[in-house]
Amino acid sequence: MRGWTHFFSGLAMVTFFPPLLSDLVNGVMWPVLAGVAAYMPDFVDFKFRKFLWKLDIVVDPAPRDPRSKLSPRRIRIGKLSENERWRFYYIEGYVERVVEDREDYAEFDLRDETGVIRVVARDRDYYKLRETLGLSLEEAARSKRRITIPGYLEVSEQGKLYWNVADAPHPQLIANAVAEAINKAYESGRMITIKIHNIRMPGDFYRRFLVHYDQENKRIVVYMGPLVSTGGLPLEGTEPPEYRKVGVASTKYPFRKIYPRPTVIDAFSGPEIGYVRVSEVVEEVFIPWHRGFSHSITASLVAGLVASLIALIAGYANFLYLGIACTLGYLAHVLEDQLGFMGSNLLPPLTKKRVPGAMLGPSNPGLMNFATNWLMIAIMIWNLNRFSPDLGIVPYKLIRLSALIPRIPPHLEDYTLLGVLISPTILVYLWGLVDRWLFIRKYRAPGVEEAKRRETVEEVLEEVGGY
Amino acid sequence: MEYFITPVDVILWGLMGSGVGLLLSWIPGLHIANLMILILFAAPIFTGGNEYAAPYFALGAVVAFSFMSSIASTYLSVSDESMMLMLFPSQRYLLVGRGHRAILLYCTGALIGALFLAVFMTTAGVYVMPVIYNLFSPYYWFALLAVVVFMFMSEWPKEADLGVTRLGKLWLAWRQILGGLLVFFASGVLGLIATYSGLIRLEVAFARLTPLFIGFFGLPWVLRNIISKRRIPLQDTRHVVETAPSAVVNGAASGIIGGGIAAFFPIITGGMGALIGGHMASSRGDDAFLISQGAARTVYYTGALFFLFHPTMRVTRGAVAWLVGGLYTPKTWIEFYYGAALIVLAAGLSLIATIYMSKAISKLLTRVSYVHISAVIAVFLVALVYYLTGISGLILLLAATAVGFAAMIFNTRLTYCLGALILPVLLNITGYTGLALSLLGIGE
Repeated sequence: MRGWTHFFSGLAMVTFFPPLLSDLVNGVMWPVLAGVAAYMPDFVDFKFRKFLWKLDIVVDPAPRDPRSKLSPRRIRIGKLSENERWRFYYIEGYVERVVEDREDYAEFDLRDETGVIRVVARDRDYYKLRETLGLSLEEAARSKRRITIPGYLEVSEQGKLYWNVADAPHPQLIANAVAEAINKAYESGRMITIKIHNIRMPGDFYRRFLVHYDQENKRIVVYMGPLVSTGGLPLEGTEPPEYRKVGVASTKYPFRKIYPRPTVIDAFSGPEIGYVRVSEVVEEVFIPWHRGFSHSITASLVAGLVASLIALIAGYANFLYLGIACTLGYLAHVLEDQLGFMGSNLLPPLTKKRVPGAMLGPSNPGLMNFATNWLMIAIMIWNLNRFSPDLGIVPYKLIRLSALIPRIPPHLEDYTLLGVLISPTILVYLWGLVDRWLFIRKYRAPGVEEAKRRETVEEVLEEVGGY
Repeated sequence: MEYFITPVDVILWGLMGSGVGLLLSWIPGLHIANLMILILFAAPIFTGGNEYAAPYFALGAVVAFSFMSSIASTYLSVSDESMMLMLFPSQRYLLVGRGHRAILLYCTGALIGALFLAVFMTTAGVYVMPVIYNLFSPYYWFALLAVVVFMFMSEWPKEADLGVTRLGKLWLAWRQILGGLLVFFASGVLGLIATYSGLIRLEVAFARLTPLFIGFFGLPWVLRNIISKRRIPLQDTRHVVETAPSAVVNGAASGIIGGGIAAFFPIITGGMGALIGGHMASSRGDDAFLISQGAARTVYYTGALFFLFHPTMRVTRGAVAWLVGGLYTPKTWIEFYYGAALIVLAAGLSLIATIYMSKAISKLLTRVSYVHISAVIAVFLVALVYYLTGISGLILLLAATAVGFAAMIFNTRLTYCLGALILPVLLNITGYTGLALSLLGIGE
């Protein structure tokens, strides 16, 4: 669920309490705390825990320039070593000697003030290089003009280092790191957290890549994708050529990814992924700092208590109602998140792990989010309608179903209105259940052959708009 | 029964408003409220017996502005706050030669927004809106405060990953959040100064916030274009709407919700409404985003004015509505339905005009240096502020530009600059205006 949905849920909980509504009408704004409390679980996780979480392995496939904060960063030729293999940088210097220059392929030596390295350009990268240079390699060599060449360090079959012209890192770097994390988690028996940085390029574009867990074959497959905008729109013609599109690494031990879709990394920030050994299998824990104690029923009680105490100390008369509204708002957040897949650690210290979510409407989580927002709007309308006359705002209820359907017994009128108002949400949630069933059948049925799994991956690749 | 205005008058005055709106709205920095002030006060025609036509003239102009102002924000990097969330996607489109496609997406949303507004307000809205108004109006300030608090709480730390240590990351994250707070309060202080200090002459008090808004949202971008010597690539002017039906539905829903919230709740602006609308409809993707912005702005600007036409609501929202309401407020259902029809008509006209204007500007940009265009815009904005508010306005403009730059440096939301509007209101409703003014040395 999106942030506003949670915050809004807290505000909706306020409407259950006429004393709080009365305060709001009179300009006393303490009840806003209920919205704050309802958003607090994500605030704690995303503004504190995320940054304080201990990382065991950090993969930065394309280190950023410290000034522009964009990739690639310059690396001097003298600093190149096998540790930097497959990482995306640019080198700068002049062409010292052209070894070979033919269609689709070129080899030349580039020198800067710290050393010299063999540069290889092939496939589409060759043409991009020519286009960027605006002149032939021979001309560049003669002119001694300084040029910049993006790419990554590669090792030839003969074991020699060379610079491969490219516009992205090689995905092998990421595949190896993920496989290493899985192996370490199995061998050490503790959670190993890997941080994979995203790749931010000029023009506010990001290089999209995805990590696929091939559980059957104990392989990690990383696909390097196109450049995408912050909003996820792929930029035409930016897909890497075939030879550096896929990286595959095998793990020594079996692993399990509960959510069957690949992990997509592009805009905003790269994820932290935890791996933990459970019996003889390593399980993935996506963003392990999230949905822990902060997203629990236990924490909702603590939040209400803290809010009450703050309000009491500040001299707010309705501190008790406020505390209950804060608890309900916080609890609403926990339950709303539980509708999704990831789930939360619901009752610490009694529970230690995330309880898997209900996974309602996996094919359209946006609709579930909207339905939840509608539920909160419905609750607000219902409460404001029944309490407004008591608060002296209006002389009578503004929505009276009995005016439309005279047969409704007066004592049931309010509840009927509630039923009518929340019926769209109920319908969407029911659809969510059907969608869940279809999703499980499609992705997780026992005996799904490898071909079908591949199809699933292909479908997701298409969804993410690359190739 | 004799009516004050006939359908012919509506069409005539409405289209005249649209025409003026289309002619002027692409000019950077000219907000519709300022534009209407200039027109209505420069043209006494509306005060000499034709005041019944003024609402339709304004409605036509506002619809035109909702469409045509996308030209300035997409191609010339200047816009009002409600476009701030959009600047980045539309600039990205421009920088990859797709500025015209951004305009087409925006116009798709704007057209849907206009049609929705006309249809909804004349059908379900007739019954629903008065009830919603009566239920929620006692809680306006609660809604405003809630949205502001949410804006701060939901700030996404963009650079924290670059930190080396855990504490370093935490500091980078919070530097951005605290930077946002600083921008909000600095803008708020400028808002208090502009409103209460008497720095801006009383005769031009209607334009007291103009130097601030141009300083926050306009000038920093233009100056940045000049400093970075930005060049615009060749633009593709083919009529290609690059999106999917689901993105259209999602973007339009998000925009209509966001624009509706902004139109309905006072002080909550288009940018803030769009933030909430985007969260509610789970809007993702640049195409959906641009569509949502078109819908949000149309529903926000046009909807706010159209509330004035609703005979049983009696709500005045936005500067244009206050201005027009001072001349004449429509009172009958027939005037209301005329207004709805005019929205559809003006939207159709504005759509066509905006598309062709976009093509023309696209071609112009490839022939004229973008730095030169930016320099001309900068001079125009400064001249506009000087013309409206004099030297004091220029001083405020300078201060506001510094705050706008600060928002960029902290990499935080430019919407926080709305502190200039929001902080004075929040102080007012909580009774702290006097204290704040005495701290600033303003007043007694």
